[in-house]
Amino acid sequence: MNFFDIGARKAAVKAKASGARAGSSTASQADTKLVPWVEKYRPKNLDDVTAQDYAVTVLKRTLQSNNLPHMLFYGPPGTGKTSTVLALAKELYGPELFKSRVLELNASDERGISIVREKVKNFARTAVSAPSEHARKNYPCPPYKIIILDEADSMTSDAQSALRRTMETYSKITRFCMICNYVTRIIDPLASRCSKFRFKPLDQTNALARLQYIASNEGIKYQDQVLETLLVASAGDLRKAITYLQSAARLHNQIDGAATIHGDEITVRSIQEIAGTIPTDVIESLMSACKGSTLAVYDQDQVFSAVFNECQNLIMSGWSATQLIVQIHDCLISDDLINGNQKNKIAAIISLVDKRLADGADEHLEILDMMIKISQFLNE
Amino acid sequence: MAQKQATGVAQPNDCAVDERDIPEAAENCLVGMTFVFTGVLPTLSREKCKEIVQNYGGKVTTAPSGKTTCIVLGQDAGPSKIEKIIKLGTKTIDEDGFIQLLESMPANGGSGEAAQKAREKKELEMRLIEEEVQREIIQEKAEKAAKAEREAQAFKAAKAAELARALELASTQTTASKLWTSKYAPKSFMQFSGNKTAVERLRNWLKNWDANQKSGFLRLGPDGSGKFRAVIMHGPPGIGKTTAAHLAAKEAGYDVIESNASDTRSKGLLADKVSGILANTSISGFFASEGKAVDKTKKKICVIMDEVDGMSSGDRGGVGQMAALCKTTNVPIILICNERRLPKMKPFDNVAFDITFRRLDVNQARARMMTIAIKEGIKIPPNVLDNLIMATGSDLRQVINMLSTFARTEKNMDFDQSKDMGKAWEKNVILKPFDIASKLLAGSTFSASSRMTLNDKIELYFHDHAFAPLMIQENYLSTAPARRDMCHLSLVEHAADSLSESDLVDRMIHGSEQRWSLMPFHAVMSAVRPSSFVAGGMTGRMNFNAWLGQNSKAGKLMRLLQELQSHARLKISGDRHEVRLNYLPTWTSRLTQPLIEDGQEGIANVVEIMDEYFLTREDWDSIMELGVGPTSGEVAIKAISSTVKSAFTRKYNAASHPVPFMKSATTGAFSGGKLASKDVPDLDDVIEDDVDTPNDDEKDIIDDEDDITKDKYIKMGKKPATKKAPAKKKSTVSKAKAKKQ
Amino acid sequence: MSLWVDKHRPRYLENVDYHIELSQRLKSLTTSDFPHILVYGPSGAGKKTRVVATLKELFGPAVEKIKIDSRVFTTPSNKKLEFTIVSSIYHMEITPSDMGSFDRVVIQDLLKEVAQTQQVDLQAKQKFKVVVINEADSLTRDAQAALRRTMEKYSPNLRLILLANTTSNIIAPIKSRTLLIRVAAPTNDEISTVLAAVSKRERVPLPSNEADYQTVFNNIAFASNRNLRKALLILEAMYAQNGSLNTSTPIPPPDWEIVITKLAADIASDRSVRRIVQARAILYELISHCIPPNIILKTLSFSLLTNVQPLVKPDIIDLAATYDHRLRLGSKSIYHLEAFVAKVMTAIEKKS
Repeated sequence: MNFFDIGARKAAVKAKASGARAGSSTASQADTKLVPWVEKYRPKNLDDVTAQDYAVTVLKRTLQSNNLPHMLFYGPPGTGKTSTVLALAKELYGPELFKSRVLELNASDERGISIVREKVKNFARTAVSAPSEHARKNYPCPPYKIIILDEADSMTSDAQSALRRTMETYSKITRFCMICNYVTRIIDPLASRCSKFRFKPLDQTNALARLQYIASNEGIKYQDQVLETLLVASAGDLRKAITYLQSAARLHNQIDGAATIHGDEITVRSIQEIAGTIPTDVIESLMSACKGSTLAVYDQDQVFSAVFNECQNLIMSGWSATQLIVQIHDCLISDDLINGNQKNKIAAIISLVDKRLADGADEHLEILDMMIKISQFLNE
Repeated sequence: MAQKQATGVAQPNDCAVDERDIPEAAENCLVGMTFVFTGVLPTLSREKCKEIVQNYGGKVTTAPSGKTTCIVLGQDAGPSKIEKIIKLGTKTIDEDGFIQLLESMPANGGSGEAAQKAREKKELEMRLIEEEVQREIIQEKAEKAAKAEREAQAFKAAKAAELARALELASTQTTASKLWTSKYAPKSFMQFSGNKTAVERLRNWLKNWDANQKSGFLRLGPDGSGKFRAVIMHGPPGIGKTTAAHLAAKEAGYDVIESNASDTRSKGLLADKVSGILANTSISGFFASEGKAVDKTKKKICVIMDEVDGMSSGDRGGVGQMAALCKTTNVPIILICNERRLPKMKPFDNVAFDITFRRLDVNQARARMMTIAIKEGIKIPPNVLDNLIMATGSDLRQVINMLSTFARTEKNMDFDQSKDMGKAWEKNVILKPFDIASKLLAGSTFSASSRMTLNDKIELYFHDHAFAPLMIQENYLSTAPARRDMCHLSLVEHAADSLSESDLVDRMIHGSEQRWSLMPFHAVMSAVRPSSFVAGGMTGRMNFNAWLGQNSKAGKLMRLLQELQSHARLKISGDRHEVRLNYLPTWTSRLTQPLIEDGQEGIANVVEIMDEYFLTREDWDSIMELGVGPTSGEVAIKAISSTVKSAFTRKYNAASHPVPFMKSATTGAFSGGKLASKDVPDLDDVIEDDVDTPNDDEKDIIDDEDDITKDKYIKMGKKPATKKAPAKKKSTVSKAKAKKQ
Repeated sequence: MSLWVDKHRPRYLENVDYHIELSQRLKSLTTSDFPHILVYGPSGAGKKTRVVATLKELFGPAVEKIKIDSRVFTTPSNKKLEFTIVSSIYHMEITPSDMGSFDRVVIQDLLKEVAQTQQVDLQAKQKFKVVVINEADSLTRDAQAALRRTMEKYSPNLRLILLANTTSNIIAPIKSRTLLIRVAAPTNDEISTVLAAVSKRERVPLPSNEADYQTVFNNIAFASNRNLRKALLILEAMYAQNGSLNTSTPIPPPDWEIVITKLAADIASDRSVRRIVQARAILYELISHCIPPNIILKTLSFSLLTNVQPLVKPDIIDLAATYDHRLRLGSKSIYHLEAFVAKVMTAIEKKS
């Protein structure tokens, strides 16, 4: 192959890859295909941000007044925190100034106390450069910079303490925006310096609309209930849902012809597989073993061995224990045949096992322990 | 344990709180009386009662006997005791009665017969001590006079008498400025207190040393010491081990060469220095003072190695070297240490004759201390002295030091002062791990009558917070618990659980969280709480902790395993645990079976498997070493005849073997917290090489792109074995060769 | 001569014996832009084999030309850390447990190094390189957090394949950025089939009777606990020791299992302090010979189940779960194992 023929080669590869899909195969489009949809469909401006009305309204007002407080965004993952602040920054500065005015740091960057002391501080105290004529015309260009600390809850408390003074000293020319999942992990002195915005989990309709938009934009075919399943599997995390959708699209849509077992429509099953959700029949057979419902007479030892085998199977099939806990919880807590007292006990054991799993305990033993206890509670 | 017996049954915690005011009684009013306290007294704790009685010159025993004057009976006294009391017909009183007795007794125990007797006995003792003092003074004077005379003669000066007087003055001054401990160090075995048998053994051994040497150390002798060229004396500090050694040497006519912890005693130095000494003879014979004939007997040397257990990391190999010396020495060697049971003292087993020095009991020590007190003009009643001796754990040196400190300011010491002082001095002792563990695990620490508070127990842990928990963990299974409320197994179970929890705390302290403030909590969980369940008499010998040894063993084997896995990595997809758990058993049988069954013929087979996985001869050993139980490689290895084994080694070394990778040394080191860039071009270079010339250097290998074993990076050694060339070198050689081609 | 388990390892996705659908899925992924993937499942299920085959599918046979080179990394505290990397010109394999607590720094540096060098070889089928991370579930949280950004930032030049036994220890952001691929352990029947194929190729003398023939393999499959690697190794060990296989050929458990099974029987039959002392010696022996403490605990408790009354079984599982958790949190495993033994003894004692 010719050395200089990179373009041609790329095109060839892409042509082969995207043959099944409609559309041209120019190099530029091939590149955008590589971009994760999460990035591709990130809201470009505040208006695009879905379902965070309160935060968006407040921020829009600050756009007009040119005054921005320090901000602390918190909420579950995939609710649009990073998207919001990036959109805000873009609206404030435009693409030109964005680079010089915004510093984004997240957990993958070195963020020990030394970085806070050097990099953050240095950036915080540099004077604001004058915006160009062009930029001033189109964007508000307020006279301060923004430092975005993504995943701020993973910063050490030492590093957080080191931020306190910096935030105050350079408040004239620098604004901080901290983003985290757990507001409790931000030390109090920092939290009190910021105005807090809670990002609530997306409601179904909003999220569904967004997914539908993406799906139609990408030309994806899917079976009924697929998007709904996606939302359940991702539990309100839109990013997760989009990622799953993209993965599923990869699995189904990109093979020439229909010679695969997958077909080109996304199925509910493949969404579940991608999300790692345990199929309902597996859960059901586990529960019936627990209840000993197949036995004529309740016998503790037989129930024990049945549960033991079920758990063995579950682990051997590679299902994740944390996922199992979530699903068992959903299944039992909503079961009206179980009385409140039993539910109490079950909830207690589930939370205990969850904590142990979070500490890295052995999945097999934990699941076994949990299921045996649940079976004892259910048969009391 | 003692209190335990006295109480008969396990008691709930001592609830008496010493609320009562104790009336001032006349001095020594309880002389000659023996008390027994039993049961729980309403307001006084047993400890307090004991103190009162001792303070007033009485005695406290734990069980009633014919000699008991009076029994103070409290609640819940043991039935056996009451029975005995009835049998003996001893007077019993209650707490109030005891206080009344105190108030009513006249000084010095009144005119009672017992008191009389006791007084007489005491007077006798005092007389003896005074005589002793007199004798010593006379002796000292005589010595001085003799010395002066000698000096005078030596100088043959006219004013001999005057000079003598001046000298006497001088020598008095020197004695005055001497430390009491050296001033009153025993000058003969007459003055030596306690440990008579041990001293006797030492003297015998030294006396017979020459005879034994002549017979080539073959006869055991009456006490079994005849076989040894060296002795090791061990015991707690301050009971005169060093003194005894010096005295014995002096007595047997040896010159002493002493070495202690202040000298470096590493292997090399020991070899040089001590062996140098051992070849010497004494010089003092030549320097005997004029007018005296050269003493023929004074040609002998004796080496005293003090504080052998102080040979530490700085003295690498010192202990081993010392033990080796002990086997061959031509002069007697006396080793002295505090702790014989430490693992590092192992080399002295069967090399040196063990002589154990024990703590003195109060009676043995009292006389000597009294003598010193009287000589220095300190007025100190015997019971006060007893208290001091007990407080220091019979460390005579320390008692003398305490006396000398006290004498600076005052001349009289009473009971309370001694108690305070004892307590103040006690605190300064850092206990050794063994002592901590035996204290914590002793039944008395947790018995109802124990006066130790929780803080005191925690304090024990802090004497050595690194070792205390380890020692408890090692030994908590070998006690006979004093607690009776649960069976032994349940007690142990609780203790084990507490230890397990303590480890979690430990992780918080020493892990990434560094929560040092949890130390006291760790103290409770790791030492105090487990001990509280199982405290009681030790059923076996107290062991030094095995965890450290096991841990380093595990570390070593883990390194072997890692080495193994990194060699076999190209072939094996599992991690090292997979290698250990699943591969190792099969490897073991595949790598030994042919050697066992086919002998020499099997070797080629084994080597083939090894080459396939890039295993070295050392890895073969590792595989054998890593197994456990009856099917481990170590068992299998026994079935291989030694000729086959050595043939295997020879054959393996004779051929060259594939090497999976180049050692880091050849790829260059990294620096500055970054992966060195130096490595990168090298790597690229090699890659390019491969891409450009995929075939031309593979002459004797059919190029099969699917077969990774034929890859050029995994060199099959082509050279006919320049034996034992290190793996690293080989790889560079073959690499260089590859490039040339 | 390799062991059979390595000799008969399938090298193409088409040749993998079970989970056919999974292989097809992997194959379909290789034909278009390949995402970051996270392959999880119990050990001995065939994760690595599939990954290697996938790589081959992606890059062609050159990925099998692998080499090991060892690197030295100097930590911020100036400690020298030596570890090995397996790599071909297209991919690199790292094992974080080699790096201990410095995995974050090492991984960041290594990935940057890989990502910043573009693929030089123009004949390469893909323009990215692949980094395979073994035991991804043992990565520290820090390292995982560091990975998430790297995955986005360097996605044009770099694809990650993470291998893990479970997804529980992997942080959500990673899970949402990768395509999860579950590799379930083969069923006993699937194992038997593979065993039969291998024995046929190795010409192992087998019983001619069809039923016996099946039983032999079923027994091994059962003993392997659905771990194919283990099953193949057992098969070979049996063959090495006996020369032929039939229903009466004893299945040799691994050395450590023998020791633990014996310990379990002893504990169940003799509940005394003296026995705890003996148990401690055995546990020390096992730990120092590199048997992971959690494996000891798990094996011990499962073999205890066969030795005790039904009533005690739930207690044993409860205790095992508790002390396994403590093993993770603590640092001196012997403490927890010993406490487990003591607790089990009292539990049996109480209900007997």
